[in-house]
Amino acid sequence: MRERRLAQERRHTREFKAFVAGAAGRLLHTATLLTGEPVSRPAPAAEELLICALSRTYAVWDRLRGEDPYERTRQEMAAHFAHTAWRHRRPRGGLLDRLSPQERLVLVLRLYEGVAEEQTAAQLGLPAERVHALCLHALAEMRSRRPTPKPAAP
Amino acid sequence: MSLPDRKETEVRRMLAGPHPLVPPDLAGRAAARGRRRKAHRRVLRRIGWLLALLALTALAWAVIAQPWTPPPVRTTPPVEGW
Repeated sequence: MRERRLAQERRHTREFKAFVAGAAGRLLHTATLLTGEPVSRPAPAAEELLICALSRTYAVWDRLRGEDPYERTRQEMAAHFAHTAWRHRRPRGGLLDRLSPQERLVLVLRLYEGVAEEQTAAQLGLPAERVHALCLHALAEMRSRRPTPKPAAP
Repeated sequence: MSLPDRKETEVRRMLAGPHPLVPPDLAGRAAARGRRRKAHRRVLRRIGWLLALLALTALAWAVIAQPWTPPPVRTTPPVEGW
């Protein structure tokens, strides 16, 4: 019994590591966009967010039953970020710095991850109109910032 | 292409910029934390079962022993017709 459980655990760990090897780059980018950290430096908050979401996926690995682990991890990450949004209010110098955490979450889910508006609304527990409004506002904010992507190089 | 679509494409391109470097031990750290989380849940589940079992035992005992009924009266009844 114990032997079998250990063997199963090892198999899960192997599968999980293969999944992470393939998906970590994109997921970490998503996390970095959410926490608003710059890409050039190590992003501890984004790593923490991602590791937390991945550990939850690992814990239910044997109960996924055909569900996409990537989608599951993204959902965990979005839910965890929505709960801890107040930690990420302070600007950190990333791309989506000027947006509020909620706007960042909606923008990233909708445009970077390509999640449909209704699905985003359902995942975040918001009305679809609110998601639409947040997304529009975030878009406008991003475009208003675009003309000065970098301060003039010395 | 309609105007909102163009805006979206533009921002999409901004979002798809350079990716951060993934630390090599990320999967290991996540797996270790996931294992801890799983063990933690297992312990919680066991405690829950134990409590449920205790509650059931207490209920069974209560049904059998009926501790709420008053104890039988032990005084001798008055003797009549003596």
